[in-house]
Amino acid sequence: MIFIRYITLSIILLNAIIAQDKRPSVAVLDFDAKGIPTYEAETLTERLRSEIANTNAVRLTDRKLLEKILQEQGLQQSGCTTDECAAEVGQLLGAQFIISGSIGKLGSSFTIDAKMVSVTTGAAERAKTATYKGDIVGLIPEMEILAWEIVGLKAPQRLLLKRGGRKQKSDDKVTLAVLDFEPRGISSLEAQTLTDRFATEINNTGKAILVDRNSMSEIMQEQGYTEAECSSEECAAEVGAMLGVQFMINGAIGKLGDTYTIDAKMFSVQSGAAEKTINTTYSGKIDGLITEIEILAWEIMGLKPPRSLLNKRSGGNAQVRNFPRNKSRFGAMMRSMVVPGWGQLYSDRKLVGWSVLGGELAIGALAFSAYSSYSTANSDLVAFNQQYNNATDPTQIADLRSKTLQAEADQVSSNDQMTTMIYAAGGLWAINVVHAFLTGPKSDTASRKSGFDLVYHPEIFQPQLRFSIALD
Amino acid sequence: MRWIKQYIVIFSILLFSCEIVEPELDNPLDTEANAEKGVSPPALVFFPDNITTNTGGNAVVNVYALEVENVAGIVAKVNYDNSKLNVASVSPGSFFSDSQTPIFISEDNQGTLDIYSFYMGSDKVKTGTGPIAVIIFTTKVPGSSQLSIVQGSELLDENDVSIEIKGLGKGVVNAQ
Repeated sequence: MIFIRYITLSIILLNAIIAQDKRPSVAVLDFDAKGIPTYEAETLTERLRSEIANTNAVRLTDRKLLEKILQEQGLQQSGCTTDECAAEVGQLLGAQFIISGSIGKLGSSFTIDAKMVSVTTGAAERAKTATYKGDIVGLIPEMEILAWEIVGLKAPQRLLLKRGGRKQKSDDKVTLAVLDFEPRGISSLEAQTLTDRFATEINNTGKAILVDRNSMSEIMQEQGYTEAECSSEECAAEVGAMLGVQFMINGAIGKLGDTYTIDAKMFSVQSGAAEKTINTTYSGKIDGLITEIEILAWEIMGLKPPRSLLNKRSGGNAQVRNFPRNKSRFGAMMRSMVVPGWGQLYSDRKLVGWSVLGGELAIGALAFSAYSSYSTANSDLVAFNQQYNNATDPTQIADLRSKTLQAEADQVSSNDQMTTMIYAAGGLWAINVVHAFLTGPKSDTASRKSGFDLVYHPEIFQPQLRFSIALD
Repeated sequence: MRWIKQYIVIFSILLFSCEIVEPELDNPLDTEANAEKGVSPPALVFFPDNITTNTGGNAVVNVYALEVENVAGIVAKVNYDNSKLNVASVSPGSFFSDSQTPIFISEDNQGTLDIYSFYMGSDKVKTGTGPIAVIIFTTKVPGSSQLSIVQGSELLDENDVSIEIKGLGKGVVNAQ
């Protein structure tokens, strides 16, 4: 009796509290396990409950209270699967809605069926289903997303990314967020525009799942940051952790005279270590920075920029230097010495490179053909000459003499052709080597006209005059 | 530097491997080759005109009538170095033997070999090129020995009238 009084009192008190809160009250029954152990279904339901609480959209009935009511009524959570049972339990709890459902396994796929039933009407208010293929751990983000969706809300970006992150292994995509590049000598608006273009191009690479700017702004606002304030790696890592991404990219766009510098860094949110640092220097109109930052987006993802972008860059008048850079004229020349055209291909002069290689192969084929003719003529000459020397019939001698002389003429002609082809191949090879050197990529240090640079030092936050000497 | 060496080797092979073979057109029965040597038909020549054999070995030399017309008899005088060569045997060639067996006589005078080959009667003559005698020499010592068909050799028609010989051949036997 004391126990019943305690329960009744608890319900009355609970109702009194609920009466002051206008949010609908919801009780969540343990999901029915179909093909998975019961404790796993209970664990997943518990995760659903905690995430429903995070939505702040409903008032959640205490789980212990729910269990006690069900025990008193001689019911088990998993046994209460019908809408009628759910409505009855809901009435006892004073809840307006009951969420029940099941988690099933079919082969390597899992299915989740959830239903929110109105206690008053007994009708299903909302039903949601989800199917997931993979490890059972992957059901956790699915349950979390379902928690938002069953109460009629859109799942937050961090959860969708968490789901995307689990799919990343198969898709080979990384989750990342891009912070606005810090403007140094350009306007914030220009920096933001360029950052947006950078983010769009990262998305175009197809190798990343990107957090949109709004979601990132929300998280930062929650933490009391603005994007401009969050320039340190610590802040970026903190935001990245909240967003649930693997990597963050931040950077700066600076202006020195007519030259622009872009520095970008991608670092791991988990370890804080820089994954990739890339920078470029550009001279020209600020519009040209769009192409540069697009190329940078591909490079920071470790991908080769598409030809259209490179053509767009080379079409302009701007002079661009990428760092770090390994290509040099000498490298191009050496490659062309080994394989004609290779140096040009190395210097991104594909058409010339393939033409040279094709030309060499064609000349080589002609030379080989001439060599074959030479060999045949040579063999004929030796054979006819031997027959001629052994012959005693005057008619046969005259015939063999004629054949021998013809074979000799063929031999000389083929040899001349072959020599011409070899000289042509040698000439083309020499031209190709010189061309590769002259049109090869300029060495970073050697090509600089001036050894003095005015640069911005990011650590001391001051411009610095730098002096460099080319050692190559 | 290793690949530079490889390149040089490859280029050297390409540039220098293609030698031009010069034909040796000096068959002693070839009229054009003989003309270059100053031997015009009708002639008596050796075939082959250059023989190499071992010391003590045999060297077989044919005496050929070259582009003769209406010949009924031949006298060939062959000079050889008897200090280096011995005449092992002399036999008739096929030139006069294809239709009627000719009279064939050879006489070795130790340095000069006289060969006589002719038809009996006045109605048989031969025209063209063919062997009139096969001489087998035996080499005595190493070295080179000259052979020559010398003046006194004759071509005779069916009336026993001499036909002018315009060329007399020479030969060499090399003993190793």
